[in-house]
Amino acid sequence: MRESKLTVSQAMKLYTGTGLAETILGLAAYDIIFYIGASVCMTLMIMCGEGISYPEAVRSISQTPAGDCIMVLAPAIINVIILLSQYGKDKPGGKLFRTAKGGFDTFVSYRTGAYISMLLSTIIYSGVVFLLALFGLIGLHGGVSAVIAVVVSSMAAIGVVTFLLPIKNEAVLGITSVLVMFAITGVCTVLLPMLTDSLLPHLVIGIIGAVLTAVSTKLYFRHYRMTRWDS
Amino acid sequence: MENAVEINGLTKKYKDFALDVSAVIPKGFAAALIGANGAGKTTLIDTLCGVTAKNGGEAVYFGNMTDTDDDALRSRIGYCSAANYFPLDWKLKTIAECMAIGYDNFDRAHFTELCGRWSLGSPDDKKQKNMMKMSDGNRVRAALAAVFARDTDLLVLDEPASSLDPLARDQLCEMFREYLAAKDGERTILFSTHNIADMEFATDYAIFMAHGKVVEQGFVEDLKEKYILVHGDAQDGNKAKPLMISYTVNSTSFEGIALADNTTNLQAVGAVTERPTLQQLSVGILRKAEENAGK
Repeated sequence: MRESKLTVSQAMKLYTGTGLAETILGLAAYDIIFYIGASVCMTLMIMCGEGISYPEAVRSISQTPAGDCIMVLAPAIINVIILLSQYGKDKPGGKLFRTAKGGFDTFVSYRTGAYISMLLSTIIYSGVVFLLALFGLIGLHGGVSAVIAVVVSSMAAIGVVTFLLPIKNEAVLGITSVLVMFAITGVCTVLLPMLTDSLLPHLVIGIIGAVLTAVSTKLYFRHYRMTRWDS
Repeated sequence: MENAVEINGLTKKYKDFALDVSAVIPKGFAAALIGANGAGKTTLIDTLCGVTAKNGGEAVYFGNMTDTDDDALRSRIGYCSAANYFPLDWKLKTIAECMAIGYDNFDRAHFTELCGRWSLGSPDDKKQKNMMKMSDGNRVRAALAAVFARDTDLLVLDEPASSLDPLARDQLCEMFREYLAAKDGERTILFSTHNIADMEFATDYAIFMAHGKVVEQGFVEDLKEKYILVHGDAQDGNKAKPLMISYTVNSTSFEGIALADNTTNLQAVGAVTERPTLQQLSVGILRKAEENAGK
């Protein structure tokens, strides 16, 4: 009978070396740096290529979904990396975590923390990007719609990729996850704003994403325990 | 005599390997798990520590505990795997913080002292290397320091000496003695090793494994009474061979081990008998196990 349980933040600290709040801020910072770096590079390329000023280049970018695509890429890549960190027995730390306090419950807490981190860091990131666009520092084609799309599509993508986690071949899992993540976020961030100005599709995707994440996570924990933890 | 662990028909099956072990680990001693690569040492250790799930049988710890999912049992066992015990981006500071979260009985001051003893630096240092930048030997030292810094009753160490230099192995033997002496017969160590000669000083009890099974076990001193080392001129080899358990011969001499009961008969055919070292005993017993498996 287990007696001690770790909090989500303690489980995160045990598995990753950083607590929940630290992880959320860290991931958001990674997303923002990734996005600003890529966005500024693209703006500079347009400036140099077309011989126009920075504000003009920003305006040029905001007339196409290119900037929105970059905005999607940052959390998508980082979220895939987080999702694929499953700490199997053959991975560094994998055996240690199996003997730590709480055992599988601690693993569940860690993964829960990872999901919370991905969602909150994406929300923080989207907010910062929106502010940058508001001040004219970067170009955003979809505006508020694109910012909301990043959050809801990330949620949907996290839910779908979690369904893929039972794939044993790491290369296949990695490639499939990235493709799925990009496809979902691309559709939500680039295609939907082109088809409609309404935020209703985003709301629907957000709800579907939340349900998918809840169901896939539950199934994932059951499968992981049976096939990997207790193997 | 009390046993720290009683293993009763513990089984674990893989596609190409099956573990089926019955053994005892006496309380208050250091027990070595000796066997060739693929003998099942790591599988047994992982199964005993709850890292790998068993298929059948039972292991009874400290007289009445059987559930490796029980935190009360987990906290009494200090486990260290052979490699990659910690994530590679961890530093000593991270190890100290995370061990304190994961285990109630982790003593940071003791960890700091052990890190200093093994010249790893301190978890409080400003500049620290992460595990990826450490040598294999230092990674093992850091892992052992973390495990020894817990107040446990049973240490289960998978190949703790494999990446250590001879001096560090000697220090490890010393740490074994300190650990066992600290609670006066209440603490036990189980470790697997290939460096039998270097770890002989620290070994009280030996369990020999081959092909997933225990082929011999006992106190080292008893085993050295039970078996003898036999050697002699090659010309006498054929007469001695039927009386021996393991036998190797070259152009000038033969060597192997035999049961001590055969001492008189072996001496009668011109063989010389001696008390074996644990290393010689291991080679003889494991060679015999390989021959039996090949039949």
